[in-house]
Amino acid sequence: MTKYAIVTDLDRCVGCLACSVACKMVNSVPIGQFWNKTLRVGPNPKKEGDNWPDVELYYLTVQCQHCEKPQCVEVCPTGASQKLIDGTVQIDKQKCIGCQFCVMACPYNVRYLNEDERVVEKCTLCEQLIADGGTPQCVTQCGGRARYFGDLEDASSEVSKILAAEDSGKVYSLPDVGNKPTFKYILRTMKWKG
Amino acid sequence: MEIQWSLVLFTLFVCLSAGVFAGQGLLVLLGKGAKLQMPSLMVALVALLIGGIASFTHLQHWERSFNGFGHLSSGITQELIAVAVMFVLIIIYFAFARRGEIPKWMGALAVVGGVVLVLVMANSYMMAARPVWSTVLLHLFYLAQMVVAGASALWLIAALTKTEDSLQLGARFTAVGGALVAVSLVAYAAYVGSLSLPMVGNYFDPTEPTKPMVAPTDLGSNLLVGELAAYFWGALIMGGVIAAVLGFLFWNKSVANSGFAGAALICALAGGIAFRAALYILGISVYAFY
Repeated sequence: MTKYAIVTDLDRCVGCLACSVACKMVNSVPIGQFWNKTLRVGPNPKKEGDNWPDVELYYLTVQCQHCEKPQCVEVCPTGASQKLIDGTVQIDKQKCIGCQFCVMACPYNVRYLNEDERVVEKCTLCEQLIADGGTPQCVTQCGGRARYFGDLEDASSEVSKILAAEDSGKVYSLPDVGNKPTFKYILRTMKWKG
Repeated sequence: MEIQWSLVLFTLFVCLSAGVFAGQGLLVLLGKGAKLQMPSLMVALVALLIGGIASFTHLQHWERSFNGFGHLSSGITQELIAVAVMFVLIIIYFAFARRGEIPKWMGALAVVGGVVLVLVMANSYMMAARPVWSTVLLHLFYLAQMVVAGASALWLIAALTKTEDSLQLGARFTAVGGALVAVSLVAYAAYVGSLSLPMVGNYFDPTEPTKPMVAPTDLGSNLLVGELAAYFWGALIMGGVIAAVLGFLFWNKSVANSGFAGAALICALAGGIAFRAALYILGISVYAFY
């Protein structure tokens, strides 16, 4: 089975927000909403009691993690939110009744109500592009070349090779409350804070 | 999170409906309250309908729900099934009430149906992503709300219909329900105070540059002495203590006093609204900084 995911090398991320902006452009994301956010984590002391300049900071891109056990799919009453065979979580807008329980059930706050269409939307992993063999726009436009897209189940994919070459202690996921997020983050030089 | 008023009213009226229905079922089991059965049933039915309509106003595309529901793992689907079962039970109950004799098994079904509906409803808000909701203490609160709202409503109906054999029971259950509400709220506040949510230290979200950092350690104090204190203490004092005291005043009296019974009902409902509103404001994600 396919498991599409994005691997982000946080040591390379420069916080340019190109991924956030590219996502908005290609997916016509409504004003005020971000299917892909770039958070700044820090500046935090490198170790307990440290003060400036002994601080560190990294950028964390947060979007739908296309979880293995997506809670949003579980709570959806109509089956509008669904896990596809390629491992992505998608929303069938025609089925969405806008109850927003998926918004409540998502631990990452990455689902939004489109107030014009009155349905919930989120990162589709640029389904319209990847179905054609392309890559998600946030990966294509990454200014720091920090993002990689591919199939985690395919050992020959770029993402699998990158993860295989990495120290597993430096590979992280967003915190898991039973949803098993698929995306991976690499952070070698700083302390992962989530 | 913003207060979801539609869901506040839905859960409130479901508790009221289930409480009244279960209460009148209990009266059947005890061989009491024959005179109040039909008006109580109407109250239970109307409250269920109001709750149902309120829940539909929460949906952005309610018209699609007619061809879409059915995903059984969803709390909303389970609620819909439980509400439908409750509605059918009320209709069957109505048929017996019209004939003037409600069998004890029907009374037992009313009690079970009411309790199950409230538990199913409470369960639909158990979400790992919202730790302040993900506790069985909220099941206890909703059950307590069901008891105090249902009992005070039945107490009022008994007073208005002069059903003397049910007055004392209504007042006693109001007292017990109010006390249970108070206990469940104190336990819930202790639970929220003990929560330890993950923190990332300093952070900044460029999509919301003017928003202050969320401090998930403040949840307990926020509830007790912070911006939610008025909601919490309002719910505890009105929906719990005052309702319990009003019921307790009539613990040993079989007097038809619709003023006290009505006041207990208003307190129970107002307290229920206040706490539900607080739950939404408090209901931040487990990773609030995302």
